[in-house]
Amino acid sequence: MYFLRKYKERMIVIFIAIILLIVIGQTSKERLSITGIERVTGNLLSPLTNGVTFAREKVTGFFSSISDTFDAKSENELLRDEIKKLESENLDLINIIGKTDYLRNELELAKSTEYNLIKGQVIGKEPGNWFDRFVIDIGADDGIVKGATVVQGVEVEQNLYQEGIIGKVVDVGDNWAKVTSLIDELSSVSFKIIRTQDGGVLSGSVDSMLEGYLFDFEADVIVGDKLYTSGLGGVYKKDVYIGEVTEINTSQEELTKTIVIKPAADFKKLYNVFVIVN
Amino acid sequence: MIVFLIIMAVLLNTIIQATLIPYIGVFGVVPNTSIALIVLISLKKGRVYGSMFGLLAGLLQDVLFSLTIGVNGFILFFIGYFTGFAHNTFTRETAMNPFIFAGLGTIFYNFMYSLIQFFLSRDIVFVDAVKSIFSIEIVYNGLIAVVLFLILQRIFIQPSLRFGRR
Repeated sequence: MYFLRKYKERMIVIFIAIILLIVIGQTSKERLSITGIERVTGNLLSPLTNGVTFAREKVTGFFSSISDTFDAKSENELLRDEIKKLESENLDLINIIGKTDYLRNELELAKSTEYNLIKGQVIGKEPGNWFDRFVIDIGADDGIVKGATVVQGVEVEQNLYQEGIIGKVVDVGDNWAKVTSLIDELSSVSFKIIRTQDGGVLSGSVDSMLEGYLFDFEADVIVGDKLYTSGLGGVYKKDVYIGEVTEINTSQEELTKTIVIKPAADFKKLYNVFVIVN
Repeated sequence: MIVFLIIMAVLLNTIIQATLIPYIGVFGVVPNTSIALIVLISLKKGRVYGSMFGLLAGLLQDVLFSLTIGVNGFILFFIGYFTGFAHNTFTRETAMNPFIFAGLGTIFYNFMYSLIQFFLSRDIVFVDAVKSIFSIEIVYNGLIAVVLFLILQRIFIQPSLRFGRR
């Protein structure tokens, strides 16, 4: 008994540590669904984070409108010149501006898509610098299922709008869902090069770049090749646009051909995403 | 009352960290306000409070954002516990203490995180792990701890010995 009393605190600490380690071990595996506690906590906090996100957008909007006022005078003169220019090439310029707009991408995607898409807003990002995960404001109530592919509208070529891959849903609550993005270290995706149909696997890294290797060392790949998901393994939907090859490294000793990919979607500025549902 | 205030602070911290903090990162590094908060609570209230609120904040973060439950809970629990040993050992409370302990806590956090990820057989390159452990995040978290220290001074009012009427 004396022993118990003397080391009471240390024993409690070790006890908690062991329980936590067991929980980590249990939950690190692939799980079929989330536990009740997670569901309740997520459901309670999701509207809160949603509210703060809304407030943040308002506040940033307020400050940017203030700074806009200060810039107004110099901007005015610039704009006058701009208008003259615009009037002469009005139609062409509006056309180009509209095309580069994100909303245009979204609209065009909605027109041309063959999938059933549900729109969601990003309401929170995972704290910390190790992973790239975020939470969206739609969940099981909207028909989202675990493993669904998350996309965004991107312009693949001129006037050709398609789904650009963002990541996949890894956990679903009633009104929220966790999404792991493609640049996360843990996600790997099987791709194919659309020009030659060569396949390979790519994954994110800690420094938020997409790197991959080709199955075939002799494979024909050039900078600018477009990559699509191959659907192998059934993790991601087939034929979703990933991005372009920007760098090719061949290592003779290891007999591997690695590539660096520029993803089509801008992962730094994710506000609205689409989830593919069946 | 203090327990209630700390619980509110932990909740508020989690929400703010999920929504606002990711947008104020410098050089792509996002500060971890949880570490700063836990270190402060630990220094002020001792290892029992520190460890318990570390556990609470960590588990909340895990449930909300990560797939593996318990990693943050485990690390923040021990940050709170170890920092608590420094409770009441300083004769003067300066802003330097939270700065140093938050820095040490950050190193410990990133080290343990990479270690746990390694044992969960995630593919973590050694060089990247070292880079992440000794990153600018140490200074960043330290500065946030100092700012929080100045704010929390108002919550933790030290009772002083007084004789007679005020």
